[in-house]
Formats: sequence, C-alpha cells, structure tokens
Amino acid sequence: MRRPLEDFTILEASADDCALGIRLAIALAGRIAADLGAEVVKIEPPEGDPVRRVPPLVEGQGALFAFLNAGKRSVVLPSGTTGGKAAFGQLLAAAHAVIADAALVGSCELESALGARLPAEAPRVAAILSLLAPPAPPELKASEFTVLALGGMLDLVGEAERTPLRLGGHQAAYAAGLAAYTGLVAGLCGTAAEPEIVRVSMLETVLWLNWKSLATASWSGAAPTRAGRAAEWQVLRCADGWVALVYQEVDWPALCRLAGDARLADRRFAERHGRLRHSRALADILEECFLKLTRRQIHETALAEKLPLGPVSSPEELARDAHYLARDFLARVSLDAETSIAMPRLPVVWSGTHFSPGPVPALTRRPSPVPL
Amino acid sequence: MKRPLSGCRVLDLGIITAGAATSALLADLGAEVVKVESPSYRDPFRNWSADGPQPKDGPPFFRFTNRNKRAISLDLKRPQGRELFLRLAAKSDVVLENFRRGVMARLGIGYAALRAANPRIILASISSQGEAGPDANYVSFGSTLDAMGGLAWLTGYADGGPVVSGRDINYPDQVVAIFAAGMVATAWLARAKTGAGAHLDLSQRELTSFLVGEAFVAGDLKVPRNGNAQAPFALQDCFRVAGGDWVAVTVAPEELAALRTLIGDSREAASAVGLGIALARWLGQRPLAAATAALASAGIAAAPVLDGKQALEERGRLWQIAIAETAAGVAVKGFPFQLARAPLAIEREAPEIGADTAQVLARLGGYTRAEIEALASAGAIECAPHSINAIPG
Repeated sequence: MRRPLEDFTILEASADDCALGIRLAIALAGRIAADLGAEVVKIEPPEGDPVRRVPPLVEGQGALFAFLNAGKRSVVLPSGTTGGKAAFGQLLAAAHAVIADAALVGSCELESALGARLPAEAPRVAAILSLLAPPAPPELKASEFTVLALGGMLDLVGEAERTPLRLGGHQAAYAAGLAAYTGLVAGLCGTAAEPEIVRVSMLETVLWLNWKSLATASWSGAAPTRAGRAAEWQVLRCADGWVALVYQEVDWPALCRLAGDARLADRRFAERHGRLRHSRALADILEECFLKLTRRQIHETALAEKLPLGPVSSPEELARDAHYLARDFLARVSLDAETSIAMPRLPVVWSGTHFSPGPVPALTRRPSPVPL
Repeated sequence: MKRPLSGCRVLDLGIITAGAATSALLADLGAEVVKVESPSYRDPFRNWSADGPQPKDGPPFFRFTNRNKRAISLDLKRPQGRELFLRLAAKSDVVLENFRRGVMARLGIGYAALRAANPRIILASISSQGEAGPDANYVSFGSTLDAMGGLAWLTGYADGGPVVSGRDINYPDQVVAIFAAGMVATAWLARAKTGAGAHLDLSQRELTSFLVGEAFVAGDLKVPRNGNAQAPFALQDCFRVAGGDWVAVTVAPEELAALRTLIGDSREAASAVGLGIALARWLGQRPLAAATAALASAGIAAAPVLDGKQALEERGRLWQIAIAETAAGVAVKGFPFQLARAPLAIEREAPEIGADTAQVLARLGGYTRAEIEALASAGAIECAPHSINAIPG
C-alpha cells in the first residue's frame, strides 16, 4: 500500500548545544513521519548525533537512537562552516517541512528562509521546539526532568513520603514530539501562501497532559498529590508479579467476585467514599487476594468480566505477547549489515495495513555531498 | 484567517478523554466538530463530578474537553437515528469513536456501513487494544495501559515495584489525543491527493509501548527501574530544601565540576551516589529560592516540584497556552502547541445536549423544520430548548 506521506520530504536539524530532551522530541516527530512514508533527512554533525552514544548500547548503537531514527536518511554537515550552511540551505529549500530546535532558529538562516524565500522554495511548515518558551525567562536553565517538575507531573507519581517520580522513559520529550508531528502535519494541510510555524514548548505540552490536576485546582483551589499506597488506583503484587488495580464504581461487584474475600463485604467498603477513606486497608486485602492469582488468571477474568485491571508486563515479555504477535506490533529492523533488532512499529493500522519502520541509518564519518 | 483543518467536518462519537480530547484538538486546528450524543446516552464526562467541592460552571471535565465543538443528539439505536447519522456521514469527512469494540457494528455504523454512505470517509477508531487480536475486547482506563504497555514496568524506585501514572494523570488517555489527531490530519492530507478514505485502527496500548520503544530495542539489556536517574546524566533526582519543598535537579557529566565547586565537595572521585548525598545535605540547608538561584548561576537545571495549583499559578510567568479561557472567562483546556500564522483559540464553550441538533440537521441533512419537529416528538432526536425555533419554518 502507498504510505500516506510518500510525497513529502522532511528535514530534522538541531543546534550543537540542543538539550537532549529536545533532540529526542525532534527525532520522535521525524520517526512518525518516516514510518508514514515521508523521506526524513536527519542532519548530523561529523561526530554523529550525541543520542547515538546514550546508553544502553545495542551493538555499539544507542537504543534510543536506533528506535527514534529508524527509516531516516542521515546527512552529515559540518556546523558553522560556509559549506555546511550552503548545504543546509539547499536541503531546506528541497524540504516540505523542517523540525528544529529553537536555538537553531537564531543561529542560522532558518528564520530568514522561512520569512523571505518564495513559498515554492522554502518549507511550508517549520516545527520549532524548546523546553520552555516565552513568557518563561530565557535565562532559565531546564531539562526534560525539571520540565516535568514545573508541569506538576512529578508531584503526582510515587509514594507520598518519598521522592516524586518521573514516568519511565522520556515521556515529556516524546509527548512534545507527538505535538510537533501533529502540528506539522496540520500545517501541511493548510492552503495559505505563507508558511506555518508550529511552536512546541515541552512545558506547555506537559501542562496540557496534566490538565485534570490544573482543572481541579482552578475551581477547588487545591490540586491532588501523589498518594502511593493510599491511592485509589495503584500497583499491587500478585502471584507472579504485579497488577494495576484500576476500577470504577460500576466494577466493584466484579472485583469482589474476582478477589473472593469475605472481608470486602465490610460496610467500610460498600461505597466509594468509604473505600477512599480506607484505601490502605483495602489495598492490603486485595493484595492478599491477588497474591493467590497469576497475571494470566487475572487477565482472563478481567477480559471475561470487562474489568479494567492491568497485569504488569515488561517490554521483554511484551515482545512475546500473543496479542502483540497477532497484530505484528514488533518489527524487525536492520541495525547494520549483520544485525537486526525488534522495535515497535507506528501504533496505527491503516485500513488493515501496518507500516514497518526502515533500517537505522549508519553514520557517514565524512561530510556527505548533498544529493539534490 | 483559515485554520489548517478548515473545511474538514468531524462526526465525533468520542467520549470521556481519549476520544473527546482527540476531536477537541481537531476542532482547535479548524475542523468543524459535531459531537454526537443520544437521548439515551451522554458522554459520561457530563456526569463525572470531580472529587471535592463542585464548581459552579457545570461538569468541569466535560467543559474542559469539549469546547470548540457543536453538539447534536440522536438515537443511534433507532432506525431513524441511524439513517440520520449516515446522512450526516455522507456530508462529513471524519467519524471518530472510542466505544468498546463491537458497538459501532451493532449500531449499524461500522466502517463498511460508513463507507457505503461515503466512500471518502475517514474512520478513526481509538481503542484500548486495537480492532483485532486475542485481547481486542479487553477494557481499560489509562493506568491499565501503563501496566499492560510496559510503561509501569519502567517506572518506580530502584528498590520498589512498578508504578502507574494513576487516576489523576491517566497518561495513556492524554497522549493518545495528540497522536490520534495527528493521524486523522495525516489521513485528511493524504485524501486530498488520493481521494481515498481510510480506517485508522489506533490502539492505546500500542501507543503506550511505542512511547517506551527504546526499552524494546534494549531487550535483554533490561532498562531497569531506577527512580529518577537517567543516562547520560551524572545525577538526576529530587531533593528536599530547607522547609521541606522538593527541587528537581539534572546534572550533565560536563557540569559536575561546577556542581562540586558550588557545594564545596572536593572529592573528584566521588560516585554519583556520594555526590547525591552531598547535594542533598547542601540543599537541605537552603531555602527554595536561594537553592534554585545558586544552582542556576552554576549553569545547572533545577526547578521546584510544583503541584497542579502551583503550576497553575505560574501561568503568565512560565507558560501561557496549556490552559485557556472562554469569552466568559471560564477556564478550559488549552493547547499542546501553537501555530504562529493561524493561532489556535477558544471560540465556543462546551455545548449543551442537543444544542445544535436542529441547526445541523437543517444545514447538513436538508431536513425541514416540520421534519425536525416530527423526529423530536418521536424521540429519535433531542433538541436543546428553543433551538428548533431558529430554523426557518
């Protein structure tokens, strides 16, 4: 099947001092476009994108880099040189869209290219990413992690008496990458003569994700905080691992049937407000019950009874998961001439077809001549 | 000013967060989004009260999520309602839904029926597990998918078990809206060239796994749960300052010397753990403002760990667009990004039930006022009070 973005060329570029979180966000946006069929050209410095060297390494290649850059073309340009600038300008003129970090916009001809060139020559869309954006003071130093702190997401995860916790992986960076992709493709839909500029501030994206907490604060004057063992939804142990206790009021009877423990009939637990007040005691009883059940048993009951419980799987286990296998969710991608690795395909099935990612681009050590 | 999705009409069967927030973002980008409810079935968000004191401006989560939309109400379980829906689908570009699997087919408005009504239709199906596969009927809320998608496995303290994002974030329900809106826009862009519609099967569990994709690549290298530490940073964690507030700090390897100078730790060879203990002691003796200012002057990223209320108070100082306001000054969900040429804006408050039924049926379906009145009295549709009067007799 023809992929939806087959006719599009998209350029990825970042300044030498670009924050890691923004490199990851740019790369994720580009990875989505590449899976959807776009020609994605990633500009790298002669020593390679620093993400190539972020551990863990698989066959000498960073796992993050391999996942985020499968299916792209890598072009090496020496930054700060006249030749590099000229080549960048040519690549830019040939692209329908560019994804770049805000620092690059000030440091090269990207801005003038967007403003001054004829629309037919310049990219129609530029997605410009940063950790923070105005009105935040420009001198405020940030990282993906401190953005999570400012966005209220750290405060909501973990035990009440222990350190606030980040979610696994690079969720703030990847969410910003999703925002950049969506803004970019929306921009490509537009028919206006002037190019569109998509501005993604990672902090705004995180706050947007965390809207429920801000919404609650906006009318009640107080926001929720992490409750750990007292949380209504939390992870409990079971016979062979862990299961996320997730349920709504309507699910309570089915949950009691699964647990099969007379103590759950206690008046304290009859209504939601009582269950919230006695949430630690409830978690203790449910954990005792779950410790007699395997994740598979809980999974089967949850499927049959339409209970939203979540047996916890590791990525390694998921690579062998029957549902994921049936949906061809893990694709084999070549890392180099001899090695292939498994990674998630784009999480969409398009009229029955899924799109496998392309190979991970090798680094050409010498600046490449720019093919036009 | 034309927004990029201007001219794209969306019939929005999306409910709660995942579906309704996707179509809200499409509306922000310029699509005409018509929320479809039923006399016998509302978006459950209309009835979800928040915990704690109740706000005066109506169901808050619904109001936050459904601004910039129109709303109609028709009974899809009746033949008349179904026929009406398909007539509107023939005049629309996108249908979006996040029901349990099987509901669309049972209502007689599955992809085959929609395509028969409109060969160019784009159907976006957002579901827990995807359209097919042994777990297709597994139901979930966001935190179920933290667990089933691999994210919870990677979240937690180094000495503890997996952790979910929880009821207050429900992370997989939030991110899917940005991704799904992007996929709908992609299908709309492609359709302009090929003329072909599409059925987009969007599994929230798969998206959750995709967003930790590097852990699948690492495979048996086992990316462990490790609290807040993260490669390639030398040190990353939260620390208490004097007074008990938390500060988040990220130190890159090249910043170690500056940190050691700042906190007076001269042990060049100290491990990250040792340095963390020294930094914790140093921060514990300083109030919040002084601690963050000193770290900033040493070029180190540091920020207070804010809760939702404190984060909201930083609007106008650190951020601007994530929460917006209606013309009446009521807070609603804002935007995850902004466009410079055609800025996203809030132009409508979340609609009442059936606010636009009469108007949409007349304008798109070609129904006369008499026909609309007959459908309403038969109970096939529901119109907000007085809205039929606006239709020319």
